[in-house]
Amino acid sequence: MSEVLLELDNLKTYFTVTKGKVKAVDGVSFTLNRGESLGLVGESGCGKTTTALSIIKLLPKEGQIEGGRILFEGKDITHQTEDELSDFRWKQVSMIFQGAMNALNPVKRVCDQVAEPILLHEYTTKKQAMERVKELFELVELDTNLMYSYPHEFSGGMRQRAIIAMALACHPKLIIGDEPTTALDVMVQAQILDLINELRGKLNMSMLMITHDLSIISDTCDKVAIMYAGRIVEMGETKEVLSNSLHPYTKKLISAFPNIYAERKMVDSIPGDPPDLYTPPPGCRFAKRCHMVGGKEVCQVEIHPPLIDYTGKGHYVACHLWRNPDEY
Amino acid sequence: MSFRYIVNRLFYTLFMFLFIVSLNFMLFRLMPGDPLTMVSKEISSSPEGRATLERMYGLDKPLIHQYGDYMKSMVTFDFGTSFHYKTPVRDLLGDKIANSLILGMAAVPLGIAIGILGGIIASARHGKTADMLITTSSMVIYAVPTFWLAMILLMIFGVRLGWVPINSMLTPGASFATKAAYLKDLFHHMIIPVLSYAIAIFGSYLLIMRGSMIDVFSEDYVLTARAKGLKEKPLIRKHVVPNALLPISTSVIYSLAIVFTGAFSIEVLFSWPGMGKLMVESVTRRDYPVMQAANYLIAVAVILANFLMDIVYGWLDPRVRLG
Repeated sequence: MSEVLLELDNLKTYFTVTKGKVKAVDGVSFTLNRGESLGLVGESGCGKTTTALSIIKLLPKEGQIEGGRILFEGKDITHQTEDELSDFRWKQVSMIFQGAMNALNPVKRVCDQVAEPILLHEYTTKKQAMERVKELFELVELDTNLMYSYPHEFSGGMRQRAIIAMALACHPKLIIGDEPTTALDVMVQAQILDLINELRGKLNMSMLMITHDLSIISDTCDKVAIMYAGRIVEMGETKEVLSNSLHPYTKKLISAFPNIYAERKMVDSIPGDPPDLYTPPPGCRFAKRCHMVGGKEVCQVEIHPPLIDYTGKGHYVACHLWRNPDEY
Repeated sequence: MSFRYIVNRLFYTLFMFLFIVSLNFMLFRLMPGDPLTMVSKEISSSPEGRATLERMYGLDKPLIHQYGDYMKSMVTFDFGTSFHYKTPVRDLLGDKIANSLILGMAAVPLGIAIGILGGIIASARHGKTADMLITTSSMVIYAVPTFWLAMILLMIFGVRLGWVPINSMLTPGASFATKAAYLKDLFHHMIIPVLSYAIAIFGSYLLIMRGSMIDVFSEDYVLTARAKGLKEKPLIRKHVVPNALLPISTSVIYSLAIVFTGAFSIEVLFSWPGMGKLMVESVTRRDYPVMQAANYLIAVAVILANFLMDIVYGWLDPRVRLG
C-alpha cells in the first residue's frame, strides 16, 4: 500500500536576483505515497508554490534547482531534458493552479482546452478525445451540453470543475493543487473540496495540496507539512500535527484560526515578518518571532534545527525546544 | 458569431454614417454668411440675380429637399467638378484611389507582417540580446521621420546605385506592348516607395505586438498550457499569439481600411499619383470639391473600418460576440 510515488530529497530552489540568491526553498524533504494526500501549509512567500513548481519544473527563469533530488517513482527527474519533461508534465503530474479563474484561455472553448492534453499525450483522434472530455464532464458533475461553451460563460465554481476535469484528463498519478479554491466563496469551496476528495478516492491519485488554510488541510489531507521560510518545520499525520502540534510556529498558526465552538475572542497573530531569504539568519529561522525563545542562545546561533521524528510516531519537528510544548 | 451581432453592428454603422454625413451638411448651413454674396456680389445684389443663383445652386428649395439632394450626391459619389482639373471629381478620384491602393496594399501588409513577426520573435526572447537588438532598432527606425528615411533610401538606391527610378509610378511617356512589361515597370518603380512605407510603419506594430505578447506570457492560462506539456513553439502558436493579436487587430484593420486614402509623405516624395498627393495638391490649389470629396471618403473609410473591427474582433474574441 505504501508505495512511494514522490520523494523530495533536500531540495534547494534558489532565485537569482541582482544582489544574489534568494533561497526560496532551502532543503525540503518529504515523501508522498501512492494514493496519499499531503498538505503543504505556510504563509505567503514561504516556498510552497516554489516547491510545487520545482516538481514540474515550471519555475520562472530566475529560479533554479541548486541542490537535492526529486524522485518520481524512484527515478530522479531533477535533470530531465525538455522533451522528457513535456512527456512527464500532465501525464504523470497535473496541476490545478492558484487563481484558477484565469487558468482557462478566454478565447478557446472549454472542451478544446480539456482535450488539449489528451491530444498531446495520448494517440487519439479528436473525436475520441471529445468523448473523453464528455466523460470527464460527467465525472466532475458538469452539464455535458456546456462543453462547447467559452470560459466566460461559466461561473467560478463551474470553471474550477472544468479545470479539475482538465487536470484528470490524462489519468495523472499526482495532482498538485496550488490553492485551488482561493478565489471561490465558501459554499462553492466546500463543494469543490468534496469533489476533489471523492475523485481522489475513486481514482486512487496522490495529491499535493498547497494552501494557507488549515481547514482545507484537515478536510482533504492525510499528511501535512508546515513550511516556514523555505523549510519544513513540522510534518506528520494531519490529525496528529493539528491536535498535538510541537513546533511553536504551527501552534501560532492554529491559534490564528478562530474556533467557532469556543468562546469568542480575538484570534492570535504572529508579530514580526518572516526573515529575508536572501540572507537567512544562522540559527532557527523562526527564532526572531518565536514566543518560546526567551533569550535561548541555542535557537539564535546554532544551525537550523533538523527535522527529526523525536516521538517515533512519524511526527517530525524542527525545533530545539520541542520538548517544552507547555511553555506557551 | 451570431447573425444578430452582425446586424446590430451594421445598424450602428449606418447610424454613424448618417450622423456624420448629416453633420457635414448642417455645419456649413449653420455657419454665418450668405453663400450667394460669396459667389458674386453684383448678381446677388439684384432680386432677380439672387433668384437665378438660388435656383442654380438649389437653394430655393426647402431645407429638407436640399438635404435629400445632398444625401443623394453623397451616396452616389457625385462630388461636382474639380476647380483645377475641370473634370468630375468622381472620375478624378477613381484613378488616384487605384494608385494609392497599389502602393498601400503592397506596403501596409508587408509592414504589419514584419512588425507582428518581429514582435513575436522579440517577445519569445524577452530580455535576451536578440530582443534588445530588435526592439532598439525598430524604435530608432520608428522615431525617424518617414520623409527622411525615404529620402535616404532614394539617395542610396535611386541616385548612388541607380538601381531604381527616382520618381513616379511608370516611366514617363512609355507605352507598354505587353501586360508583363507594364507590370515589370510598375514593380521597378514600386520597390523603394513600398519599402520606405513598410519600414515607416512596422515599428509601431512590432512594439505593440511585443508588449501584448509579454503580457499574455504572464497569464495563468499560459502557465497551465506549459504544465500540460506543450513545448515552446506550439505554446506560442496556440495560446500566446491568438490572445496577443486581439489588441493589435484593431490597428491592423484600421490601417488596411484607410489605405485608399493614401500616404501623404511617401506619395509626395516619390511623385506617386495617388490620393495622398492629390490631397496635398488640392489644398494648395484650394480645390474645394476635391478636398471635400477626399474628406468624405476618409470619414466613410473610418466608419467602415470600425464596422470591420467589430466583426473581426467578435470573431477573434468570443467575449465580444454577445454584445
